[in-house]
Amino acid sequence: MNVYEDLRPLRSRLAWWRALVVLLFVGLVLRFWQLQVVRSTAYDELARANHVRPIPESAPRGLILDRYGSIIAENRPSFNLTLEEERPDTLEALKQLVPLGDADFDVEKYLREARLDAAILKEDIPLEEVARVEARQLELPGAHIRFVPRRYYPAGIRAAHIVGYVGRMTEEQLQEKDFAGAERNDYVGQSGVERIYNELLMGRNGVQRVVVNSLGRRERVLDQVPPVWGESVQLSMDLELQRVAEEAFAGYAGSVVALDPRNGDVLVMGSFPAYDPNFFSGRFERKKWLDLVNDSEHPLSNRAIQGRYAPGSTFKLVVAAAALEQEIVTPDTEMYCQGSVRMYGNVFHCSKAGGHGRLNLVDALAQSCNSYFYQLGAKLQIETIARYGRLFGLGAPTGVDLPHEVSGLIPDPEWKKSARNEPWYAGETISVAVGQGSVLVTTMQMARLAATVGTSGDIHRPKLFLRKLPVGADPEPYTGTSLQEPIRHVGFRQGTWRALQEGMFRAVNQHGTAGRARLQGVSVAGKTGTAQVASRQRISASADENRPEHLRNHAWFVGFAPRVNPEIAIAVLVEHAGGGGAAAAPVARKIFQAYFEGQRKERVRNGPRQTTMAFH
Amino acid sequence: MVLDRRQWHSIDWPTVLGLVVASAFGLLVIYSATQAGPTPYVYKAQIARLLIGMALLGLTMVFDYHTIVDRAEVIYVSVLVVLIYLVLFGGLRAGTNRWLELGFGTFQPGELAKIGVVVFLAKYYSAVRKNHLGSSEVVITGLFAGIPIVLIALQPDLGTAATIAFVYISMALLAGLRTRLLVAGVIAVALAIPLGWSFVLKDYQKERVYAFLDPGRDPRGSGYQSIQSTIAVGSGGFAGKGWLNGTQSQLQFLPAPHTDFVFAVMAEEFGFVGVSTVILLYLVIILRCLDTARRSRDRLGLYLVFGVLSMFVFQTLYNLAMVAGLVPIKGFPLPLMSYGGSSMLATMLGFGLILNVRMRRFVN
Repeated sequence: MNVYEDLRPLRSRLAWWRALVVLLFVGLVLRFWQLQVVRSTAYDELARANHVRPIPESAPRGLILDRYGSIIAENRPSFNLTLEEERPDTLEALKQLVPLGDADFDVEKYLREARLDAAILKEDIPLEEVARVEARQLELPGAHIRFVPRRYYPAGIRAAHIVGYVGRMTEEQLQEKDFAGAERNDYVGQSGVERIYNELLMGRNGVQRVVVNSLGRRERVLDQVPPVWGESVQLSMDLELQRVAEEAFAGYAGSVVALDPRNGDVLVMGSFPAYDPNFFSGRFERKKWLDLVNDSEHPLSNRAIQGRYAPGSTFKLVVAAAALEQEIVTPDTEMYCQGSVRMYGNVFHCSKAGGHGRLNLVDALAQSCNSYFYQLGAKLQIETIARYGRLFGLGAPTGVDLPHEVSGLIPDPEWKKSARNEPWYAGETISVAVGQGSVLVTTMQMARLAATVGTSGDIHRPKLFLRKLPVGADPEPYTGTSLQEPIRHVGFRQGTWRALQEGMFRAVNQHGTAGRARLQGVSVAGKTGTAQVASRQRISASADENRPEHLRNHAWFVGFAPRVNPEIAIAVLVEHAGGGGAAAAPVARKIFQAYFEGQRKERVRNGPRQTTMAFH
Repeated sequence: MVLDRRQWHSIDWPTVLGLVVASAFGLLVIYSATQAGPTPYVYKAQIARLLIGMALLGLTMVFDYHTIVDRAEVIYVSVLVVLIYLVLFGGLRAGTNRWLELGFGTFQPGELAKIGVVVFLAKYYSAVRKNHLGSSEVVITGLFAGIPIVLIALQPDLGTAATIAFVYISMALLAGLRTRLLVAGVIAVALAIPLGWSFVLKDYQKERVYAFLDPGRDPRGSGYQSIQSTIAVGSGGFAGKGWLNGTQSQLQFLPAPHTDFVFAVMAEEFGFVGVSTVILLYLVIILRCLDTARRSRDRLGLYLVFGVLSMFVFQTLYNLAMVAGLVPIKGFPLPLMSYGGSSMLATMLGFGLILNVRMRRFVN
């Protein structure tokens, strides 16, 4: 064995090999230096992104209260099933565990959302399903139950169009600055007060940073920024009065507005049929949603500010004011009504077939004599009527604090030229003089018109917002009436206002057309109207009540009470109900009655109604 | 007794110390990597294996390496028999049949095959008393190395196959492989790659190559391991997050944290300080063993040490490069530190041979 061996060539190759190994090791150390020292901050962030997950905590929205502190909108606890990681296996397992909705359950979409942040698989899941998922938490990596405060409207359908509703923020809204601070998947106000005062109500979301493992299991909470409640908004409306109005409307379509003429406070606003706003904050059900949107009765639209109707005879107040101010007549100027008038080659009928005989302006208002106003219209000309209509704020939004209010229309030759490229016909002026033809108003505008007549010229901006309450403040009644400067004063002569008020008083109290609004002990003033749905020529053969319902006339009532220093002004429109005296006046009467009974009792309430829901 | 007093004193204690320190540190990291997971007890198994490994190391030193090498053919043939048995009858385990089911547990014969091939090649090359290999010798040794390589690649266990290939090339180079043969071999391999891609590689293996070329391609799939490993290493920073405090490992973002990616766990928790210390330790062990090779009394000893060492170096370098995101992911344990019985036993066996050579470097 002891043979001499020349190992030198081997040893020299060994030396080369050793140099190579040392070089490679040095290279490795440099690589680790690069990763751990040069780029360590970037990798540290990646490691954090791996295991630190921000879980948003939705801020409860502020309460919405009526003027006496009754709760219109609050929050209830609810649970969402979310998937926070792209895990098809978990999604599959969940599908076996809880019913995950309909055919349009888009697995790919949810997995994509889960990769980005979190996919909400099912909202507002029942407690029984919460328990089922929690029990299998270990087998469902990435699946979580998130606690979310959810909007709840204890009165349901009541005051639906005032309060509006909330809904998941849309893609477009993510960009809008109105919704700055809201996050994807947040519920924001989409309509009504919820929409207009969204910023106040919304609050600020909190965030909880949790440490998760690679299976998505939450190991511990790293830190937490608690959510901040939204501020509460107290409205001028009276939920009790609203109830009376809604019950009075039972079965009819239409709208009603009651204002405080002294300051423009909206006391009642109803649109019928209505919807239950709770539907929008609960679990989204496509079918029900489509039914609601496509309902031919349009329950989602707010008829009080979006429904455009011919004012019918209620417009005579405008025409009468114009005629008095233009000194075409005095309150005592008499004319003769024989039941119809022939003008410009057409026969115009009065509401009373045999005619009213000889009567003055005040009684013409009270009896709603068309003949009298046909003649006023002919003398006034359309431009003057339009000017006075606009003085009353018609043809423009009232500016009430609700979204999507429409303007209505006060027609004049200029409008007709530009809209229809036709000249104005003199006969149209005669129709407009009794509130038919192209003139269109909203219930809100007419309620304010009643208030303006009642206050001899004050024009207020109708408003729902009374005040905001700080976060966590107990709901309390708002006492007193805020006396506010009107935004505008219509400077008619006192005699003009007195004539209109007297006409409206007689309409209710002295065998006028609005007798059904009469109330024991309170001096109610009002004016009825009938808005034609179909043109008279086409259906003249049949009486209104014999027509199919959708062709029947709309019934109007506008009025205020008491006659002197009115406290409440009301406009009621009942669709397809025939004459205004019969259908609309009784609704107004019930509201007047409830209001003044309430006032008599001086509204001693024991504070706000208490409810047992969480988030108080 | 073959081991006398003088030989006891000539045991290379620095190398033994290096092995023990690296293994003990490995235990520490294995404990950290598994204590929050589903198998918090595995460090105990590793302690047992380390003890068995040390015993094996001692046992290997007892007999003169010449005595061992005399049985190279027997060892080689037995290894082949087991490998063939595995390919034909091996039950699938984790998608491969690299595991041999023994009554008391499992073993990966591929690990043993590495040592077997080293012993066999050392014997063959040491018999070549020239400064350069002739082409027939290259081809013959190539065939002897090639058979186990193919059998192991069929399991499939590309990592071990590549290790043996590397050992073969290293040893051939040391023995005096001519440059033109090397070039010819490289060209042959280059030609074989497209063929291998189409006919040999399985889809998951192709997927791994893709994942290496573009880790972001499928971050939840094959690229995931590479990305998570790099994040673990990088986020460790200079000083590390502290023992038991690594987020990537403790929260189970790292795959195979106690086996193939044990070094990533270490890098995360002990930072660059730990990384450079451990790399230095490995380098010291390697340089010490190279010294042993240089001083060995004959060609056989030199080849033996070098063969074992090139196996160790290749696995170490590849594993570290893999953890650093430099090469595709392969099932490579880090010798000494990774959890795994077969690897531990093979490594200790190998170092036993190295110590054996050093111990008997003086001509009696």
